[in-house]
Amino acid sequence: MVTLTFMDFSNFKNHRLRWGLDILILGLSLYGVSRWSGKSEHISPAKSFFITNMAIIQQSVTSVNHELSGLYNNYLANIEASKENKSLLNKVAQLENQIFEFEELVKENKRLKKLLQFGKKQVKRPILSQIVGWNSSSHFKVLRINKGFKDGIRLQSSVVTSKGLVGYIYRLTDHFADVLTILDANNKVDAIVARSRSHGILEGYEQGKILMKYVSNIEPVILNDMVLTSGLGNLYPKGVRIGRISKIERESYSVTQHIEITPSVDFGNLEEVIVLIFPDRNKKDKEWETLNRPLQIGSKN
Amino acid sequence: MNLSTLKLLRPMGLTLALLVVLEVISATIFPLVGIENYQIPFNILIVLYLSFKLDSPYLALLILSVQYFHSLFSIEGWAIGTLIGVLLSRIIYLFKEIIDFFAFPLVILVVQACLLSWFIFSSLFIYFQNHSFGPVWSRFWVFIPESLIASLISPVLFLILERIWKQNEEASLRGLN
Repeated sequence: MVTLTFMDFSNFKNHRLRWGLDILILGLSLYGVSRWSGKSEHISPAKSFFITNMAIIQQSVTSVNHELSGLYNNYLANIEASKENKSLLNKVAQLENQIFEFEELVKENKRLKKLLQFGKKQVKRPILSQIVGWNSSSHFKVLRINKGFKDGIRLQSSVVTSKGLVGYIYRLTDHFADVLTILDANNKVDAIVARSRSHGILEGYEQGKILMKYVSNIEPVILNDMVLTSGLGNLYPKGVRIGRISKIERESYSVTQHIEITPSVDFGNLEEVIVLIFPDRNKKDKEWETLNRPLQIGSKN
Repeated sequence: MNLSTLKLLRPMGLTLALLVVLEVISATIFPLVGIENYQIPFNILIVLYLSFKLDSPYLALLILSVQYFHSLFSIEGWAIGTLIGVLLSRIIYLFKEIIDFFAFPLVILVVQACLLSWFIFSSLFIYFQNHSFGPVWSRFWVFIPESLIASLISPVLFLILERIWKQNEEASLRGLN
């Protein structure tokens, strides 16, 4: 005769409860996975609250580190000249960037002269931000910055430095934001080669390199060519430096070339970034919404 | 919610606090000293510890909370990690009576095997998302050193977690040694 003890009954109940919870949470997770796009994330107020508090801890750690390294570099190591050198280097980088922009403007001007109408240049507002942390998983190349929604930053705003493109705003809270860098495979950038105007799509590759895809085998790209944002895709402004071509592989059987790019930005030593805000972004978003709206046959509009 | 469920809250709170400290170290201090390409997956180690050591019907909920806190520091989100974690905990449940942690080398070996399984599961998701093995391949070269270091430090982390969870009598923990 089989006797069912209280312990057996309790174990049976626990077993059923565990199966039930496992199935429920697996279902929830599957729903969550299906919603994960890798493009941007709208976060709930609760998550925003948690992220803000965690980011404050990260910011404190970063600040202490900067203070300590600043103390060492400027006082203990007595490198007063290093300060001046740093500012001069920054100035040189800015001037180089300006020269580069002028060169690009000359090229752009020549092209535009051939056209009948000129495009209206977008006005952008830069917001300087400090990096407070990186993504805790090495599979995602993400930076956390100390500016958020209340500072004027919006989802998918472009992030740059004086040297070139960094990425775009992936998710944000009121005071902090996460930047999906161009080193991440989920970040696709529409780009052109400055010299040959060859078109391609960039995505993060291995060892801090970027892959330029879909460039035809007959495009005359060469090593050290500069790659810029094309402005297509409604995400990045046109003409921002991305990097230089560091490797090209052409196979006779392949239609496209394997092109690797070394980014202009030194991500290993990045401390500050600039977030570009476009005041007329809402207008542009509405244009895209209209274009993306499914066409209704027989409608008046 | 019964008493044993309530008794899970304290050690779980401490575990999450430990996770936050480890994530801050991983996401903030490591990059400051120049290690930004390699991160130790502390969240996975904690999920593995819970799966091996805890006999609770609420294990899936605990895994979900670990992954949720991890998602505050990573854009990976909670969903993929929870899905893999719960699936892996089910597999571990079948084998944990056979595999008993009695020595550090075995802990290291078992953790390495579990990390490899986690990598395979997560790579499948990446493959389905990108329709390309490129990102999986580049992740693999980062996974090798990361998983080796993670499995090497796992006995130490498990000892800390053992101290946290040992205080809870209802948690049905078995000894590490």
